[in-house]
Amino acid sequence: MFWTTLLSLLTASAASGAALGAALGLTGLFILHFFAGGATSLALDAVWNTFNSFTLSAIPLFILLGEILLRSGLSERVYTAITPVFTRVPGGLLHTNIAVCTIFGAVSGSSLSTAAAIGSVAYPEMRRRGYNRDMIVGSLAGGGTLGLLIPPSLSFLIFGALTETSIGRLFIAGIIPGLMVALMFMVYILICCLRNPSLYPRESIAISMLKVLTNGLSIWPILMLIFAIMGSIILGWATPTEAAAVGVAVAILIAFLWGDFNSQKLLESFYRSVQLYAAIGLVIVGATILAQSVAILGVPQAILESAAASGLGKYGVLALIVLTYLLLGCIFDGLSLMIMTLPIVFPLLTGLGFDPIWLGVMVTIMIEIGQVTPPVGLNLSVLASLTNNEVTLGRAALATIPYWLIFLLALVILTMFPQIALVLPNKFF
Amino acid sequence: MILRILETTENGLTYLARFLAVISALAIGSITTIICVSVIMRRVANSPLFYAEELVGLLLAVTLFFALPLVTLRGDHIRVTLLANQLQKRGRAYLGLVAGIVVLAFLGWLIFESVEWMAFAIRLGLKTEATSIPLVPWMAIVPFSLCITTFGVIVQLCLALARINTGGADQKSEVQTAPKNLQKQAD
Repeated sequence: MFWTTLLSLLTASAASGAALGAALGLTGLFILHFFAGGATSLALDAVWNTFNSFTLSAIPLFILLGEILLRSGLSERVYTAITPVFTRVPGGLLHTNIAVCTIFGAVSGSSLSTAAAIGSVAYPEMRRRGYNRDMIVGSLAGGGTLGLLIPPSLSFLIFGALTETSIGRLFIAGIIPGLMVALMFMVYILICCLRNPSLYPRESIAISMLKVLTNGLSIWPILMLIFAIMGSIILGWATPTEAAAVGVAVAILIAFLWGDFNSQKLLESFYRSVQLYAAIGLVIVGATILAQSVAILGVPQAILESAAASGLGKYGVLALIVLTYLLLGCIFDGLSLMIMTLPIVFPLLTGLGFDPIWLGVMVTIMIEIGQVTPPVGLNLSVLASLTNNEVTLGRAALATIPYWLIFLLALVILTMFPQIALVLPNKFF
Repeated sequence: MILRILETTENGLTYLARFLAVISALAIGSITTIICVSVIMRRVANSPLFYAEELVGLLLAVTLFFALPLVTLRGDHIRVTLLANQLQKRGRAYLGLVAGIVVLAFLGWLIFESVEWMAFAIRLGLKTEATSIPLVPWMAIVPFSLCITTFGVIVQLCLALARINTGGADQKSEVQTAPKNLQKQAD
């Protein structure tokens, strides 16, 4: 009866197209009222305790950081600086897309900001030079998702805040898997371009190594920003929330001095970031209420006991959860999916013996896959609109399939070698 | 006539929601400033702002709840659009009504709960633990924001109904609580 009510009410309310947070919250309130002895008064307490939180304030700060970077013109500068590095490599600017997304991911917490910021610079330039359009969009969609995996990351922040896992450890755990996935993307692009040279134009200009080096060094303000955020966390100078605020201040400074930022864009960034935050925030409100309702009924514990008794084994359960995330990723936006599933997935998998930090990295990769899975893959939508639908959503989705598969491969590798994610946090914390 | 009154009310509410969103933006600016000052004070003067954590937490609630009305009125929330995308405009309009009712039910239920919640806070005169900041004014932001948002949704629902009844469903009858392309978030 409980499960029928939960699933049918959630499906019906969410499918109506109502705000997802409202659908989750209404389901939670309903369960609290009818299954938990009318304990709906707990809902507002849970919401207030979640949002009256110093730790969670890092979320709007990182959204703000992404909005500032998006409008600062810094992406164009970084792109220009990195462009010569890959001129001699088959694939040229396609590699630049991945490299710049990696660098941008290290200052922006959002995959959407990363894809939009780099895509708006890269697509027109690469199209002009004669790169294969599907290949461009595929590399940008795949590369954009690195914004969530490479710290600082909204996904890690929300995961840490909702599961009371160390956000600093999560951030550091994302570094090696993020670089690993970026490298795998580049290897894929290299293989494609070697097999089919028509995918990219031959660059005739030979650029000296000195020029490459000086260009690389010219992005020092971005390196400074990366240090201000990640360096301060790793060195123990600041908590992730403090690093986010310092990052915003440094980003504003750099954007004014080095980019083409102005006070109008600054105000826009603030105004837009609070709206994005409210959109994510309502999902957190709803998920908090739903989580409260399922927790009070002991649902996660019951699922854990069922999973343990099912004989599937911990890897069997993990495989089922990966499959569930892949399917739900077609319907839900990545962060929403994580927020609504964590109350059950986290206690289940940690109860089966998986490391919480490693799990944070795995869940982040799973929701990254959702970012490039149609019809709700937000990165795909953004990029399709950036190309003025020269590359339709469907074509963008097809072009992104290889990156999707690479993410799956990364999940397998991380499952086989969890130390890839855990070595840095174990060393620094 | 009714349509005009509703449209005027919706416009007025949108201005109010924008004003609240500006306060929300100021709150996030204040959060940034307070944390930066606190970090500098701690590193340089070894004297962090003792009220920083609690004040930032309260400002975070302001940031969310003052931005909520505008995001709701503009239909910028995260939503599942799978079913809506398969429907014609008129079908989407009706589905939008259902979506509006879901949102109303949720907000209405929270407002109902907030009465007792606020009464409890006022009765005990709740304050923050470390710095004794009175919590009641900050907590009042929650029902205030929920009421403005609910009123906005009601007006939009009435507008949608009025437009469907006057045969204008094909033009403007989708309530903003109805599905909307999420691409807008990236603009």
